[in-house]
Amino acid sequence: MNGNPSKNVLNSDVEIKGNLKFSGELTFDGKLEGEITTDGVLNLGDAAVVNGNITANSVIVRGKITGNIQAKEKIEIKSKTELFGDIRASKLSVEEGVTFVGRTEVNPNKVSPTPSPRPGETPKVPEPAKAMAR
Amino acid sequence: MPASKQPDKLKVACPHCGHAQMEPRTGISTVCKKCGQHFEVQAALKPKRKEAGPAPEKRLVKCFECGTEMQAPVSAQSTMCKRCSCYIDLKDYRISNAVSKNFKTRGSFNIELGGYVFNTEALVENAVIKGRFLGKLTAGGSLTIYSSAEIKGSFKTHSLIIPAANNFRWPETIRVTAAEIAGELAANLVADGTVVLKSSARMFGNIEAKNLVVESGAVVVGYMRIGLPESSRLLI
Repeated sequence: MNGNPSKNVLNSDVEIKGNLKFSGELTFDGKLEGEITTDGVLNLGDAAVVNGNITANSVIVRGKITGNIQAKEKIEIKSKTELFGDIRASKLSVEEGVTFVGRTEVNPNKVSPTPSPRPGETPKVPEPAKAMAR
Repeated sequence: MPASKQPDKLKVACPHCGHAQMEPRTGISTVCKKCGQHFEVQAALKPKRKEAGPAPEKRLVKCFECGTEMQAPVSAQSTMCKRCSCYIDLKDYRISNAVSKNFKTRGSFNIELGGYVFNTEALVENAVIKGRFLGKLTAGGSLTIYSSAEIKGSFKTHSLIIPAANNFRWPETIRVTAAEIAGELAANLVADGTVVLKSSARMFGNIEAKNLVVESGAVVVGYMRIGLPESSRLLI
């Protein structure tokens, strides 16, 4: 592979039944019945309709997606997206106006909830900001 | 009765040195006999009214009883509903010791670290909880909860705020209009409006909301139902 990642575009008049694999970057604005697998970047357009799972390095989500999305790095869900499926990524950003139903796991360091303090134990209180102290 | 005759001359004070001298009532201008400065007689006779200062800053207050909204000065300690004449407390309360009484204010309600409010029903505007609260709390505006807070009972609020580097765990589903989570929340959350998860947020629980904003870097673990009409929502 050369240094510059390839940029691919599939426009809204494209309809695919089957799985899609690519490297580099793909802007997809068509219809797909199947899975998308890549180690690159998937950029879905507003007209994109995907029925299937997506596995990528990072995904920018628009359009209507029914399926699970897994990204090594980041998932960005843009406004007006309709997403029905689970998501798993290291980073997630969601804009206002999204429709989303599914399970979310965005926990890169696998942190767990802070345990509740035992009775009688004083919970840790963060240091007050110096500017606030009078 | 004969009309009282107005004097032809009046005592006029010089605006420069304050020296008073007699001048004709209808005089236009003159020279001060003390400082020799020229001044206008009519202006000295009718000093300008002091300009009114800026109008006091006001805030919107809602009546506890009838819900009428009205304006009240920010510095006001109380007001009265213009519609139902209900008394409205506007005082801010800062609790730093043990207190057992009911609160009903459109001001703020802060329980400091070490403060303990027990056996109470508090109806307040904005609440900040750092200490212990035992009872029923309703915050019409926002409710900010710190790690050190210990809440037993129930709470209701329009907007829930968990500041950064603070955590809050609640066994029941929290129902709000909006929420802004910058710290850690371990609870199920149902919001009629927007839930904002800041980049420092750690959310462990299910979210059902009209809108969700997740900033990059937030930890989110749970099931979500976002943006669906209320009728199709299954409450968590």
